Amino acid sequence: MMLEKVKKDYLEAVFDTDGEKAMRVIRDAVAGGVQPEDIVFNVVVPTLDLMVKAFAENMDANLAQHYMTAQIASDVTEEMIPKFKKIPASGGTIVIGTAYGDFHSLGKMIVSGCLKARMIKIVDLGVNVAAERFVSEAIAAGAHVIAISAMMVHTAHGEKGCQGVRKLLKEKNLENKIKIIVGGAPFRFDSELYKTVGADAYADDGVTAGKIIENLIREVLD
Amino acid sequence: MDKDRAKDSENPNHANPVLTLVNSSNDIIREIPCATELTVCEALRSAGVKLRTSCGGQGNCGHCRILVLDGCACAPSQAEMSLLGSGELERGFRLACRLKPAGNLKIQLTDSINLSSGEPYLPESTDDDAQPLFMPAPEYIRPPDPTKRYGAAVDLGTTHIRVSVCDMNSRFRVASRTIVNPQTYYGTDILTRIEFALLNSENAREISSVAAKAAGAVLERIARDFQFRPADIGRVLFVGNTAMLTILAEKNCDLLLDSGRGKCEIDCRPSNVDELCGNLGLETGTEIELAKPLAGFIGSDLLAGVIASDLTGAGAGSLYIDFGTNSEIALWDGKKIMSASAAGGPAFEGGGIGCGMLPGPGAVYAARMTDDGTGLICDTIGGLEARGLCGSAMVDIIAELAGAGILDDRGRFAPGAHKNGYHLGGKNGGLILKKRDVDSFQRAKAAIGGAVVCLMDAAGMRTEELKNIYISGAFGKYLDIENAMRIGLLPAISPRYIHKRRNAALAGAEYLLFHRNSIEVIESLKNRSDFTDLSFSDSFDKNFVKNLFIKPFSR
Repeated sequence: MMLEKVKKDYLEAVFDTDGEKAMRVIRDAVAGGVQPEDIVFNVVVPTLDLMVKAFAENMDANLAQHYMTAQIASDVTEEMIPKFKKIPASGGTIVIGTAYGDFHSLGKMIVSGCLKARMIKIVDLGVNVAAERFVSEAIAAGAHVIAISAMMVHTAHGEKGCQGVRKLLKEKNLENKIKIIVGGAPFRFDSELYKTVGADAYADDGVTAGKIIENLIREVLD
Repeated sequence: MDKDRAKDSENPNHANPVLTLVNSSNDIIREIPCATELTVCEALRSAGVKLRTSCGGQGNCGHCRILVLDGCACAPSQAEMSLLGSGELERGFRLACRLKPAGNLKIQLTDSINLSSGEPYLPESTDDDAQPLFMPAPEYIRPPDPTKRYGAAVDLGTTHIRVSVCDMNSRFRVASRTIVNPQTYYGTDILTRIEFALLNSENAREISSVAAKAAGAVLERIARDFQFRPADIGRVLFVGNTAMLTILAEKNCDLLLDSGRGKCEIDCRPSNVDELCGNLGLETGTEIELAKPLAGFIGSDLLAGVIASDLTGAGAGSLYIDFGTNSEIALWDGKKIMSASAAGGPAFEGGGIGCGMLPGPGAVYAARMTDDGTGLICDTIGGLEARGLCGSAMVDIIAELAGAGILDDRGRFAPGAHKNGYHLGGKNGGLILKKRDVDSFQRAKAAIGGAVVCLMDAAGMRTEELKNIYISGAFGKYLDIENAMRIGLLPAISPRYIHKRRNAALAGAEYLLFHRNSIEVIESLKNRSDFTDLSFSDSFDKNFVKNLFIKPFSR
């Protein structure tokens, strides 16, 4: 079946971090009659899932590869969405930001890139986001997940970071409505840290975060 | 007394566990009681023995490993299981920051310093072929002090402390030496060290004194070698990034963690000058100047480097880069000095690289591909057998492997023989450059590229307008400029206009040491400088990613 071939070629291109080849494969497919919706839901998303699996199985991908994986998925999706027959159903909403006192945005960029294909709406709060703002913006946006990126030990542990968000969610009785996911180097080094700071989940990398966020949203909606 | 001893032997756990330190010949060096609930690392520290904790005792680096020869220890923690190989665990290695003794332990240390003396003697290197003193014009030179003939300039780097002692009367350099900064035992990065210092005032005093005492020890050794006394040193001038200065001054390092104070000047005057003099081994009342930092993390080391390169005299479109764990960059556009600090990680200094090392005997400093493309010829410092790779070698190797198609621009090894890393030869099984080593270097490079683009954007400067590049820092004299441009470490301009200025920050510190108005010199430079906080830059991450790939500098 044509779609299987497209999937195979696209996956190869993504594994090779060849953005140009990936785009060529997709454009040829669309020209050949494959539906843009199929491209996103049956090619791009499964490929992201496969990348998540590959990273977990120690693919030893470097930063450039992680970034390109997100970039390719994002670029293809952005090109496909205007061609959709109808506006796709939303996969949920998240607010994302870098923790209070922290300014690294690259992790956030990678997560955001991977969520586009999953039709998850992202409200990007930027860097140095206080706990209060994470929560108020999440409520205003009707978000299902708060995603916090922290690259430094003191911002991961900080009272005004994830711990602050957990405290506020508890106070406002929102713990079942909004889940917290964290990511960043400190959480990779200590796989129990996310629990200590009150998060519901963590991800080792931005691409994997996309999948976990999709699962968290499903949990909230059930 | 016999009754107590009998009681102890019946209930050995009633007494606090004792840590017995032995050396490699099993001779007992010390016995240290370990209060319950303290880790071995903490117990040792309270007894004046500091183990290396690059991650600050979080269980992330594995550098605090000790060998447990005898005694009962609890089961290894998760951190120990992931950082120590099963072979090491079987042989008794444990991480001191995770280990809490359940009973008496006999242990052997692998890497530690004595807090009161700074021993073991940290390796010290003498600056060979140092450049001539960069002096102020004669009318600006300090009148010499008749009672104290010598002065010292110190560049307090994150990883190295460089000390220069000068004869202030006769106006020449007596000696210049470099040691590893013992604060590396508290954390490889400055944030870890700041957190340590902020925990309580004892910590702040300890980490400050450790650097001051190390610098003092260098001064003492130079004095002894050249037959004068430390008391003959009348003035010491420090330059360093703001974190180093605030830690030394024991004050205001919390401001560095406060994003709101980013652009402000941070007061780094020592909170206790007499204590600092004492730690330096100098007479009370010796003139100590910590040259003021610019703003945020950008300290006086950048300003000193700008002075030594005469950046403002070089014409508009002059760029200065001080490569290090925290790299500082300054761009002169003819009117203002635009500066930024980029934390790319220690890859330029060999840190975080499996077979990485600082330049020293046995370090590979240059490499080139054989004509038939089958291997790399490596040059080592001292002509010794290769022990590791220093930063300039990384540049060469990455450039050569990329040129040969063995590494692609993303930093992946081509499938086949080199899939798990490139074997370089050398003793002990040979040096292997792994993919993650290349990744570490890519990130460090990307930080530089990202910062340079941001500064050029802020100055409204086109790439063609870049005329000169001055480089200093981690690569020393070994950096191959062509290779640096091939991989995008430096913007591509004619190599004629790229100038290496070794130890520019120290050279600038010497200038300030001799200058009668050093404070005004710094003040005047600061007034002409603009500090760009890359954390708040929308474009830094995009520019970072653009320059992550192994290819010429791009914008």
